[in-house]
Amino acid sequence: MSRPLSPHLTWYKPQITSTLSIMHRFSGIALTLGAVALVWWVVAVAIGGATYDGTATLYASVGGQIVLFLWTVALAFHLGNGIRHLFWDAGKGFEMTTVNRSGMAVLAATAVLTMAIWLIVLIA
Amino acid sequence: MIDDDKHSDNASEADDGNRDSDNDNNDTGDKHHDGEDGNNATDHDGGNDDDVIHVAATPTSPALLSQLAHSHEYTRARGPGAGHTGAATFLAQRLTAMALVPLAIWFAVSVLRMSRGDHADAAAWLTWPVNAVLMALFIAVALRHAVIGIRIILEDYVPHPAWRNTCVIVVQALAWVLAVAAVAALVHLAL
Repeated sequence: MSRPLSPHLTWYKPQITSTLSIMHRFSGIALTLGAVALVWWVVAVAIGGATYDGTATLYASVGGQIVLFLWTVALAFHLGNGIRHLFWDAGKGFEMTTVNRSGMAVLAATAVLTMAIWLIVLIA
Repeated sequence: MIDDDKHSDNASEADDGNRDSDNDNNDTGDKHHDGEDGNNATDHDGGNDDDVIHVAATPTSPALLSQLAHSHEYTRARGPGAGHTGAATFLAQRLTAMALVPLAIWFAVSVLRMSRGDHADAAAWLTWPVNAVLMALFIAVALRHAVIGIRIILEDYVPHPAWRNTCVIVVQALAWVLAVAAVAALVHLAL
């Protein structure tokens, strides 16, 4: 089995298509790690006591909040770019101008959605 | 016709069945080749070399098809194809993606808010049946989606089959541990 494996990250000239595609995978990996943190939080609530206190303190720390913020960025991006992928699966949006435009729209939506989430979190 | 004989020599006799299509594509190329028969391999200035490759890549002659039908690679590619299981995983990835759109927005807003409360708030919130069900669904669907995605990444970047399969099994097993742990925790809180 010496077939060439795909896709080599260093192969592509950086452009919005390849960059967002790579970001989709990296954000997916980040969100999977976030799912581990989420399950741990649910388990910690069930255990309670010192386990919950330790988890809550860790998540509320500066480092914890930064990681949580980056996870919301990853979530917003993966959500937006995932919808872009669903449109492609339906056979729509393949013209290069549309691909580039929808890529920029995903980046804008990522910023807006991230800010919206944190405004709700911080205000409420 | 000297030109066509050259092509046949290079691409083997299986090329015979494709003479017609070859000629169709070569209307403008014959004159060009008349003077340069020896230079085909290094000729980059016309479309004719592309035609030669095209003929070799689209087998329609019985001889070549028969040869392909008995080759190992060709028989392996039939049936469900390279994915081995048809489109089930492909569909599951899309369907979980669609389910995760509303679930992820619900999660992002409500759980991040919850993370700022104390233990009693969090326990009460997770005990409410609607939240418990949505949380269990979100974790289960997200993990299914995550396992499919990570498996695809592993299949792309882990070259050694045994090591690759081991990684896939470990990721799948960890996902099961997480899903069962989350549901057990939610049930524990509800009781």
